[in-house]
Amino acid sequence: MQKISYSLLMMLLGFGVLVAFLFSLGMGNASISIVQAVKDLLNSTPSLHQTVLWEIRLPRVVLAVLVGATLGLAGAAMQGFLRNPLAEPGILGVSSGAALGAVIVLYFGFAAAAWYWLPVAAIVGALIALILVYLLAGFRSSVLSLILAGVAINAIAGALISVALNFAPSYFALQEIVFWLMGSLANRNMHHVYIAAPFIAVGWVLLLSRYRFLNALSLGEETATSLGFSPQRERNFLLVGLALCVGAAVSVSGSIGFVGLVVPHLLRPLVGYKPSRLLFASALGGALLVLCADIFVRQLDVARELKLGVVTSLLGGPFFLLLILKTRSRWI
Amino acid sequence: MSLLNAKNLSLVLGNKSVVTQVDLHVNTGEFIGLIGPNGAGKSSLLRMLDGLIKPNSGQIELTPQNVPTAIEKIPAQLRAQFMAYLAQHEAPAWPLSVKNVVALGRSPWNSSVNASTEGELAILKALAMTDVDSLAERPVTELSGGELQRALLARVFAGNPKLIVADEPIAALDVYHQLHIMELLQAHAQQGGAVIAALHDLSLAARFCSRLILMHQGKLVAEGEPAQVLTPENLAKVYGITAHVDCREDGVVIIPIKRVTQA
Repeated sequence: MQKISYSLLMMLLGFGVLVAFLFSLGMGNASISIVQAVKDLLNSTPSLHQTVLWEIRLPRVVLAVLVGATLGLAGAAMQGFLRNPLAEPGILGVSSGAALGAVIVLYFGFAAAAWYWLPVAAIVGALIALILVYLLAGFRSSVLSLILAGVAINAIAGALISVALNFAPSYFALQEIVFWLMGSLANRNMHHVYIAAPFIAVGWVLLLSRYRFLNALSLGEETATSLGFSPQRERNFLLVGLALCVGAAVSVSGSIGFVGLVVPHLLRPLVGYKPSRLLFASALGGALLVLCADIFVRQLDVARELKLGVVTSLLGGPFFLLLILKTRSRWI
Repeated sequence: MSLLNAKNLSLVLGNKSVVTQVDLHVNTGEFIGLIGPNGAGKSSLLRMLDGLIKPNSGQIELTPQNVPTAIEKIPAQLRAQFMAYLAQHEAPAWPLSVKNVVALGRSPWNSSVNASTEGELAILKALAMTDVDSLAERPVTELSGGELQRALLARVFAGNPKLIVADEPIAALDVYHQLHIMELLQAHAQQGGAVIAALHDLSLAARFCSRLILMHQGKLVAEGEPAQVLTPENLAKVYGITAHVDCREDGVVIIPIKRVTQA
């Protein structure tokens, strides 16, 4: 039932990410040479090549990889944890918590004061959302009560974001908030990478290290317990990891939808439905998808930037529908 | 050799007493049938024995390494190597292949990404024992009930447990598959392991089990050889039925006749 082997799939995905990464680095308005830029960087001679590459293109491309891999990985982890193919990274409210944190900062105008306010507020928002989910559901709760708490947090955060939009101080503030929410990687710098990368890295480690538990969880929580796992402990690792990496990803990119849902869904049959393999494959697949979507956005030469999150949703929605139609016989 | 020794186990869920002061021991070679009507507390007792839920009072001692040790003091991984649990409705969430599901039984053993050769051998042996080796590459979601139960039992065998705790392993199977599963569990007990299983089919329980434990309303009512436990009096008291009980050479035959009308 597995048409291609796991190692081949991983190699193809890895190769795809590498090609898209280099291609994305090489494209842009300024015609510069990557080789020259790297040379200048190593010799620490300031040049246009080096500045454009280091200050403009690299942050964007690196963030595309970080954010894409995070969304794919977190989506696969949540689908495995909730044993449901329709779960996505935001299901427990961490994405909307992060978005609310960012919107508050934008609303009060702190975002203009210093660049770091926005990402910090978003990460804090994600962690607060996670704490609230725990408090609402209880620490020894069932998965169902976690989901219900997540739905509540999502609704409350969404309502508060609407309040901020409703009372936005000016038209510009309104536009800023709406555009930020749509999700984009434009105009990011290395500082964004530095602030997001540590949280993302810790989150990845926490999520990826749970691969054996997610496999065992295929047979249900009781069986996983009888196989020697402690679901409470594993759940804490997973949820803290989720909040850290998804919060950090949202903090630098806004809300980029559908990646976390579509990528694991698409790759699952290719890894033989094994939750552990899906984690690693989805991380690469997510990175590839966001890189490609970002390349697509940058190809469009329009006065007003088409937001990355709009593209992923625009492509993701119909694509997902197609996937459901194709596989629905299996899920019924 | 004693594998499991439970003393004075009680469990209260909400304000309902589910299991009350049950003593139970399991020795090597035994196939114990836990019988009783629905709601007697069989599943709860089994889940306590496997460490899935904590009893409100009482102790459980396991013997994973020759010395009886309290279950709380045994590391979860060691406990899982010693004792396997087959849940009542174990439904795989994903269309994993049979082999991948069986491989999950090795989770208490290997901590590395690559399965060891020993693990691979145990998986192949378990697949062959339960007669699912021809289905190894099939998705578990496409199996029939009997095939699925065999695959799940293969998962249990793959972990090489001493003690198997099974919650209604033959419910909803046809007669052929019921016999097959019971034979496999019996063979496990006879080869130096032990099995404790909740069962509803009294005739099969009597035919295969070395000892029966009859539960009623959370209490242990009778214990012993099948013929001693499955008496018309016990059946009337616990199940509320009159039955024809026939002790024959090849086992005990129980034919339920009618419900006892409450006076």
